[in-house]
Amino acid sequence: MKFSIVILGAPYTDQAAETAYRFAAATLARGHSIYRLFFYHDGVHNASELLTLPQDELQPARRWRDLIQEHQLDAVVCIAAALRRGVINDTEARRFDKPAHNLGEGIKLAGLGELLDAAHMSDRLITFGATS
Amino acid sequence: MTNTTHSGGPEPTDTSPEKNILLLCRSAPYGGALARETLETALAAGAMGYSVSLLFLDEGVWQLLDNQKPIAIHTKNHQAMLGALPLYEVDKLFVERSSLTQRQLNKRDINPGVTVLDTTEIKGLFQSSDCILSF
Repeated sequence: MKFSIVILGAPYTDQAAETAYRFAAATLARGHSIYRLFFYHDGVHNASELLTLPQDELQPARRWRDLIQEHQLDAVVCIAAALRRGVINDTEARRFDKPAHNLGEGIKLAGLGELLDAAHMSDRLITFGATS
Repeated sequence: MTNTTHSGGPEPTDTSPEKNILLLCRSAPYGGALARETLETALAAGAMGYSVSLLFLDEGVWQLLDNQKPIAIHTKNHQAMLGALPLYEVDKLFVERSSLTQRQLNKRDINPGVTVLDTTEIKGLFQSSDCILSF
């Protein structure tokens, strides 16, 4: 089955992002495919390379990056949500005259059209981190 | 969606209008960004030619109240964004009856263009939607 996964929860603060990661890994381990990972709302923080956790804790950004690279996943961060929260790549940093960039390798900044395309193209779209 | 620099995404494709998309709006209009970011998704979906429905439930029903004055908290007016939905052909708005009654609200308190649904009608709405995006 072809899944897409929407991550709305921030790393560390929310369990949702960790649950999303585990779901994604389990999906692939079961032989299903992932059409797209879409980071939106506070979920965009998962894509920051600057997350710095104590060494004995889970490293969310690194784990996402490794999963994305290992399985060649399509990973997209909503550009509007990301820029508002200071998650930015080198192109946008130059465009908005910012002194640094932090978007993880292998992750794209793109519009909400990518979320709707994922909804259209996937058998199942699963959201992690919606309000309760 | 008002800041075009921050928007984008692929152009509408021949296949995009096939699916009915239902967005679940469960957040209060202020105090967090999720309500706004849900509506941004609705506007994008409408712009891309999808058939979009919005269901307001839980704290999301507060989005539908008239006479919001968020200028006091230096926040954009959520009602203005709701008002933009018809321009993107997003005009199927629903609200859960029990979410209203739990908050001592009734139909007179909310935006007149919104249809109140009972639980069984909501089941039908879910079943007729090809894709449900929960926020």
